[in-house]
Amino acid sequence: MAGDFNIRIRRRIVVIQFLMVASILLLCCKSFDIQVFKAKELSEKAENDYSRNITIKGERGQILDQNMNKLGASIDAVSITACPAKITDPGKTARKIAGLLDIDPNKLKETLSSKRMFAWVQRGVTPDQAEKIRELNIPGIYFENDPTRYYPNRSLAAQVIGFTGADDSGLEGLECRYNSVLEGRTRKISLTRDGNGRILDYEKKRSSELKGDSIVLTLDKKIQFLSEQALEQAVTNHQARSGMALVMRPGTGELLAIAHYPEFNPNNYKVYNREAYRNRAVTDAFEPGSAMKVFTAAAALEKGVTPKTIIFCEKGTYRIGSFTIHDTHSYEWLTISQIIQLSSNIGAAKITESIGDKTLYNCLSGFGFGSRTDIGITGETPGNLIPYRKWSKIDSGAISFGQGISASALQLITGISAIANGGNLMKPLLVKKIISNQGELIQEYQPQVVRRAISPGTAQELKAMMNLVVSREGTGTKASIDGYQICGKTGTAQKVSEGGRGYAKNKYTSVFAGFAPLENPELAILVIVDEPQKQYYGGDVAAPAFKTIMAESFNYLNIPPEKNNNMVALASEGGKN
Amino acid sequence: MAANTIKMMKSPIPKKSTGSLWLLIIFILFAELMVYTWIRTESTQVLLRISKAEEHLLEKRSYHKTLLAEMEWLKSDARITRIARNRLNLSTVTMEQTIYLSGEDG
Repeated sequence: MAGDFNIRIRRRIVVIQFLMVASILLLCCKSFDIQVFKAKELSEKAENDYSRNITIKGERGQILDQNMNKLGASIDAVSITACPAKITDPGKTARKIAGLLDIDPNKLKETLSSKRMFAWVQRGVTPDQAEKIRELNIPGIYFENDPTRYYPNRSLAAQVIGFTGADDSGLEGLECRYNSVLEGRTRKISLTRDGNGRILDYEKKRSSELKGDSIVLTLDKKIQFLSEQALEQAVTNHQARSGMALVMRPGTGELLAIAHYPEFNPNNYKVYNREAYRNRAVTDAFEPGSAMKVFTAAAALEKGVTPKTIIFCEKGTYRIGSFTIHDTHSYEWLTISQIIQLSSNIGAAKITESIGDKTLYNCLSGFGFGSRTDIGITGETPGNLIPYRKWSKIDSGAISFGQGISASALQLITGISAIANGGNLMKPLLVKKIISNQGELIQEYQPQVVRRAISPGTAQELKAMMNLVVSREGTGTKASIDGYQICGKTGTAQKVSEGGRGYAKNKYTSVFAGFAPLENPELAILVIVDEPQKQYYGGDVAAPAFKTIMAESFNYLNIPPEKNNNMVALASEGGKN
Repeated sequence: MAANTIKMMKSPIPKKSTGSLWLLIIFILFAELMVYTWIRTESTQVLLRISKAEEHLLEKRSYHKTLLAEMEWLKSDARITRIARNRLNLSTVTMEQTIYLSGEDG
């Protein structure tokens, strides 16, 4: 009896042992199947669930002024992304999010219904919107810090700096021209998440070493601001269409300010007209008017004519072929100096007649008219200087007083600076250096002499002539500053009619170009006011703005007056604004 | 009789020793499993904490960047000039506010 029981127990043990061994064998087989045959497929599935491959991009480099003030910098804006494959109810999710972001829910539903692992929901949302969506705690919706360009000084030098688009790529100005330098580098990384979607290796997202290089400009934020302020006042006071003001260091060709009016805010560029984006000082050519007479005088002086040579100015009316040119006042005999001082068109035309077209053409070419300065800004105009062989009689007369020739504001300020520095035509400099994200110097741009435009003697004589322009009898008295010897030249050019034939009535460009102090010029300034109403002479419209910019810049740069070394300066308690 | 007694005393000893050994092995394996699990859990927790700290650091850096940009705006000439003119009723320094005294006049 007991023997049977023992036998049954043994059998049961054997059966159980067999079942256990079989189970273990089955487990081994399944394990082998999972780990060997299905390994690739399953690890891919796990990767998809727990890993996410993303491309991270370094922050864009900065745009700095010469004193390392930020003109363009990057900040992080929150962008909302999604993993559509993980979103269970795309319709409901789209409705919830679209309401908060004020976007089309149907379009968002379409995006979230795909089986992709990544999709942009909205870029650059406000912190408030991001917080509200974060509170919804929707699986498959993520928040990324997306670098966005920010211009802390808003409209300051906006046309020069330009702006970037939604993908942080430069679209206008230096942002576009130097995009390859400024743009951050990219890197692909794989982020691992736990079961709750939390990122386990966040340190991979660090991208400081991927930051783009920065550019340091020659612009001075303060002088740029002073120029923009004075220009705005000139344009609004004279109800003009637009204006430009440029400030250059004549000795080096460094541009300290390039001001435009109307301005635009690059942080919100879409609400402005595209016309406002253009750096007109470089891209647009205009007829400079009488400001060109200093270059005509330069050609005469280089030819051997002296400043005291007298020319008969035909009592205000002079006929060239079928055209008649006029002076604003009736003059008889004027010296070359007086022709510049009183801005006689007939005198300038007669100078050209005496020196010949070729001499004038060569002199103007020497000053850089008709060719690009190669400043490194996209869309630079070479202006228009017709080869002298193609000049008609009226052309040579008109070109001598700045009509029938067009130049950019940049060409004009560069030419005036050449007179100021003793005759060297400098290459205009806007980008001073490029520095790496660690602050190391990558490239530095040095002042560069393009050529000698005129002799130092001629330059000295021209300075004396231009000084007379701002004297009591000259056309630019409103540019004079007490305590400083200012050199300048007014210009008032009739604008070409819209049809392109002849000149428009009552449409003028008012110009004042000059530099100071006479002996050792520190700054050259050009002010252009387009289509001023009522008053339109350069001496009335542009000269006061020139004076304001020059005086305030001297004040800022601590350039003392030069009239009398024995003078002692005391700040008065009050003053006129 | 004595030999039988010895046999009876000797035989249970190996049985006890084998059971203990198995028990010890199972205990060691179980302990190893527990330690391994604990280490894995701790490691994951530490990873999460590091990741969280990194995220926090990146957030702070981002905030710092925004503050720097904001500081640039706060010290911008346009803003300061507007406040000076409109709120404080100040005027820009002009050349007329400087009086030049000739040294000869004493």
